[in-house]
Amino acid sequence: MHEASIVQEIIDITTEQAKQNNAHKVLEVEITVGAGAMIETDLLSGAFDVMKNETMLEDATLKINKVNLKLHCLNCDKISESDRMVSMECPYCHSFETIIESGREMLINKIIAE
Amino acid sequence: MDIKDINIPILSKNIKEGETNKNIFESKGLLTINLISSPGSGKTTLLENIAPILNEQGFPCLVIEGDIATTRDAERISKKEIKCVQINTHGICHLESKMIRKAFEQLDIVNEKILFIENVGNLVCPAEFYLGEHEKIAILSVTEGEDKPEKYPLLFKESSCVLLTKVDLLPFLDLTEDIFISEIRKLNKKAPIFLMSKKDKSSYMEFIEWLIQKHLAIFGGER
Ligand SMILES: [Zn+2]
Repeated sequence: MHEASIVQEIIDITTEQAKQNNAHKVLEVEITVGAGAMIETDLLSGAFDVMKNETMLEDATLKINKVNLKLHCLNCDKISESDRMVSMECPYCHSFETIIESGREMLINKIIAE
Repeated sequence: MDIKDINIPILSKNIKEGETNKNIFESKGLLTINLISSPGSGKTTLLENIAPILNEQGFPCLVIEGDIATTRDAERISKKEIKCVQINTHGICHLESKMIRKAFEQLDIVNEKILFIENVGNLVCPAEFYLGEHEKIAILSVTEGEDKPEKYPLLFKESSCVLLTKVDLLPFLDLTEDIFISEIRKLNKKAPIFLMSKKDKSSYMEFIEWLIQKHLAIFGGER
C-alpha cells in the first residue's frame, strides 16, 4: 500500500519537469508500471485523482501502461511472462533458478503540458 | 507541449536520498542494516537480545525504529539502554530515505558501529524503498508458515541474509527447519540463513559474527 507515496513522487517530478519547460498546466502524464513493481494500478489512479488537487496536475489524466514481468529461466533458458507478481517459478520446467529480466520498473515516460 | 521520452524512474529521488544517507552512515563508521519482516516476527526481541552482546564485543549499535502508529517498540528498546529513535509513519506502510535522515539526525553518535533500521512490519512495500543500507535482511518467524517466501519472493530473493526466528516453536507446528530452509533456498541460493530462538542466547552468535565481519569488510580494523 505505498501508492500514495508513488503518486506524490509522480506529482513532484512532473511539476519539476513542467516548470523547467515553462509550462503552467499539465494535461496528461504517461507512466509505465511493471507487473513486478508491487503496485495496484487501480489504487494508484484513485490516489492520483485525490492528490492532484491544488497542484499543476489538477486537470491532468494519468495514463498507465502496464508491462508484464519477464522471467528468464536459467535452467531451461525459456522466457515466461506474467501480468502479476507471482512466485519465481519457471512455468515450463518448474525451476526456481530464474532472474527477472524486466517488469519491475516504474517510470514517467511522457508529460503533455501547456 | 509534449515532454517526451523522459523515462524518469518514479522512485529516483528516494534512491538519491538513500545514497546521501549511505555516505553519511559511512562517514560515521556505521554498518547499516535494514530489517524487514511481517509484524510479530520478533524484530524487537532480536534487537533486545543482540544489542548487549554486540556491545560486549565492541560493536555497539543504534536503532531507528519504524512504526505505523505506536511507540511501544521504541520504549522496549530504550529500556535496554540502546540508543533508539522512533519514526512514526502515520499509516504509511514503509520507511523512506528522507524519514531516515531526519531520524538519524536526532541520534547522538559516540562510538557506535552498527545502525539497525527496524522497518515497518510488512513484507511488500519496505522491499521497494532503498534507505541507504548496506544490507537488507529478511526475518521470518516459523509461526508464519513455510509458504511466506514463495508468497513474497522479491524480499527473500534480494536479502543478503535471512533470519529464521522462534525455532523453539517448531515442534509444536509440525514443521521442520529443513522445510523452511529449502523454501528459502528456492529463491536464494547464497544468503546465509540463521536459525534463532530467544530461549537459546547462543543461537544469536552466528548472526552477530556475520555482522561483525560485514563491518570489518567495509571499515577495516580488527576485532
Ligand atoms: Zn525453466
